[in-house]
Amino acid sequence: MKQFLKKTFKIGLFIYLTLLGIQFVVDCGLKQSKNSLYETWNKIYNEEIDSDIVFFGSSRTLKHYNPSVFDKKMNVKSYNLGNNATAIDIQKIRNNIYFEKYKSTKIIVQNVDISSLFKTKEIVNKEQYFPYYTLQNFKALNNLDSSVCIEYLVPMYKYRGYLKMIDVSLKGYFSKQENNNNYKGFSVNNSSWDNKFDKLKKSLKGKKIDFSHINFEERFKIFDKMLINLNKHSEVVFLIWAPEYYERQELEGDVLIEVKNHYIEAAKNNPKIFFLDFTKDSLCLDKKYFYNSYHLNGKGASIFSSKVADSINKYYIN
Amino acid sequence: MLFNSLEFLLFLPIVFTLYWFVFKKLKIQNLFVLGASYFFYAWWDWRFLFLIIFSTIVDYLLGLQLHKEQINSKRKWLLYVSLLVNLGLLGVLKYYNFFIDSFIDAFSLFDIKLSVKTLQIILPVGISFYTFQTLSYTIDVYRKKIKPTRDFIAFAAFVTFFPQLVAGPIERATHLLPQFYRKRIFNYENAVIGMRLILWGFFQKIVIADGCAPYVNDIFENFENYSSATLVFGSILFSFQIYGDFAGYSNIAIGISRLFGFDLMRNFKYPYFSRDIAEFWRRWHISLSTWFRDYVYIPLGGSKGSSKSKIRNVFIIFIVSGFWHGANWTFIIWGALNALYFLPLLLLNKNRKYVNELDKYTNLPSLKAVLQMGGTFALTTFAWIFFRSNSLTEALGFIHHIVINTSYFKISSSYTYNHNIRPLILYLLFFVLMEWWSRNSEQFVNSFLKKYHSLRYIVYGIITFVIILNIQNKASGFIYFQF
Repeated sequence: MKQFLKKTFKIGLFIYLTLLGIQFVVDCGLKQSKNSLYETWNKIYNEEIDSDIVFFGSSRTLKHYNPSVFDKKMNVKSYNLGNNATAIDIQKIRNNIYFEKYKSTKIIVQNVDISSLFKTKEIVNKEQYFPYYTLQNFKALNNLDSSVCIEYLVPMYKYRGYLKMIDVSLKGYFSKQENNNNYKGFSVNNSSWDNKFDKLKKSLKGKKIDFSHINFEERFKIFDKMLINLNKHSEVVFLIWAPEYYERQELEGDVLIEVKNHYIEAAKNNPKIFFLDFTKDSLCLDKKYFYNSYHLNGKGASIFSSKVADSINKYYIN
Repeated sequence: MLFNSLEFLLFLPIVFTLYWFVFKKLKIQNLFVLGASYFFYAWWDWRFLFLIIFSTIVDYLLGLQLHKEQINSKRKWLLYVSLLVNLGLLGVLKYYNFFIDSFIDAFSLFDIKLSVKTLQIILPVGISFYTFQTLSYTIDVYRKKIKPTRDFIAFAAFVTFFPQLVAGPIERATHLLPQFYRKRIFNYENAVIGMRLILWGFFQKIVIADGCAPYVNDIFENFENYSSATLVFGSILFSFQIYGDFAGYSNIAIGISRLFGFDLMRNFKYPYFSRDIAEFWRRWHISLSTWFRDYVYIPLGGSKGSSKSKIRNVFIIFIVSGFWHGANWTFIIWGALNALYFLPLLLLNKNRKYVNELDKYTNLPSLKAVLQMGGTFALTTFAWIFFRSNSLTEALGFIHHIVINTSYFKISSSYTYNHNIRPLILYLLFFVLMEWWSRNSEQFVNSFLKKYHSLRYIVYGIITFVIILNIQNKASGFIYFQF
């Protein structure tokens, strides 16, 4: 028995250390990767953002705020830190890591809407966090996904089902340029209008979108806490509700107004916080600026970015 | 509790430690095995424990009574009671709805509409397995092959022994029960073999079976939209999935048993290297095939007698075997197809042509053997289409589309489109190669590891690495649990 246990331990340790080594190599490759999933994270960790304006939020940030427009129009350095398919509970992970590296940023733009208040059920694009599974991240992620705990303890376990990442990691070592069209975090989508909204409308059969599953009171508390943090690390915070196609706004009904009121209240009480509402903007009326009811396409994003730059100039710079 | 779940990862070392270090006395060890087995089963649904306990008590008492009783007719009645109770429970829980639905369908052909209520119950996991195991006990006591046990705990532990409780191998009382009477001594060699079997079992389940599953599910669920080549590819992947899933479970079960000092029978002997269908059935699900052989086929007369009775017996054995898998016509057709494959060999007296092991091939098989193996694999793969399909209509539709969707070279499904299939193909090649190297031994790559002893850590490391990379977020169940 003694011999068996000794051998099992020896083999187990050998395998554990080998896997730990492999994981280290894969992680390091990803930390150097130019892949769109990792580029922004790597820049945050390597302190390469160095911007006057940063944009936080979900895919509605990622697809809407074009830094090239801001840089040109405002003569500043900007960076889009939007993270696809994230609600505030996940967004704050990126925010907090950014604030660890950059204690203060001149202007922070936080995109706001209803979907950011959803409760995250699963971590989308989980692989983006793999090379940076630190204790700090682990806590926040583990609250959303219990398997993170085992991924943290068992080497290479986090890469299960993500074989492609090993390939991405190797490319990272050889500084191979990935198929990455992002510019300073901004990810443009030039597609034309898809039919998803029509399907949504059909499925609703004349009813409004059901938001009853969201406990807004609880979500607002999380948001308010996040806002305090944003405020602490910036000179000024802009809460911006980016355009949504007008018909979608109709389907969101009174909830849109209630949620908006909360942001208005938040801005009212603090001179360092501004709320800019683009839901009444003319962009919202024309499908040609959208690729779906919730996201602007490249053309729409450029116009919207230009309008936001003007507004910031108007409210803050001047 | 699933072998590939986190709970089991905690359960096994705890049970192992308590078994060898705390409960050292035989009787207490047996009691502990029984408790652990009940816990293992109750993790899934504790209510069905009562069924096992009931079945255990009935067969225990009947065994004692059979031994006491000297009058043959009375002994026969006692056996009938055991068959009635065990098969009755199985019949009601597993087959009742099938028969009711079939009657309703049959009557509807004559425009008679019946309205009989079906049962809204779930099938207890592993009921077909433990029912057959307890039946083997009473039948063997009836045949006076073994003496009944007076040790209820040992008997109950034999019925519910957790490694093989829910998906076999279906053990015989003559083989497993005596092991509960003997003091188990920890054996290093046995434990090492056990660990290797567990490792290979996990590879078979997690990498091969679970790797094939999403492709198979997609192709079988949307067969109308895919090319012939894709459907053939899906069927081939299912052949690997079902083998990986079931052989994986068996290997893990046998491996765990070895860790506890028990020896379970082999359930698979590299069946896809079979050179004809008769050999396939000597290598596939051996514990069930031999059960049917000993308790059904031979009592019916086996392969003795006239051609007519031979044909009848073969059809009975294969159809019953198919029906054992599930209450669906697809399983019956699957069994009947195998009977059709087997019959020519039996009638031409060629069914025992390949009883020797595969060791005559020093390295690679001969071209003739490759063709024979390929042919046998093709036949079994064709039969698996019925096994995998949800209904006879679906199975026939699938085959029909293989013929009519005449793109014979283009493999593409929505799953292959969205996922890189190359790793799976590599794993399958690696799997076939490893199995070929292991073909003469129960353990995987035994001869290889003996020859290159120092490389074993690397081999274990690679296999563990691949397993970890393929573990799924949610542990997937084993296909044979539903039977």
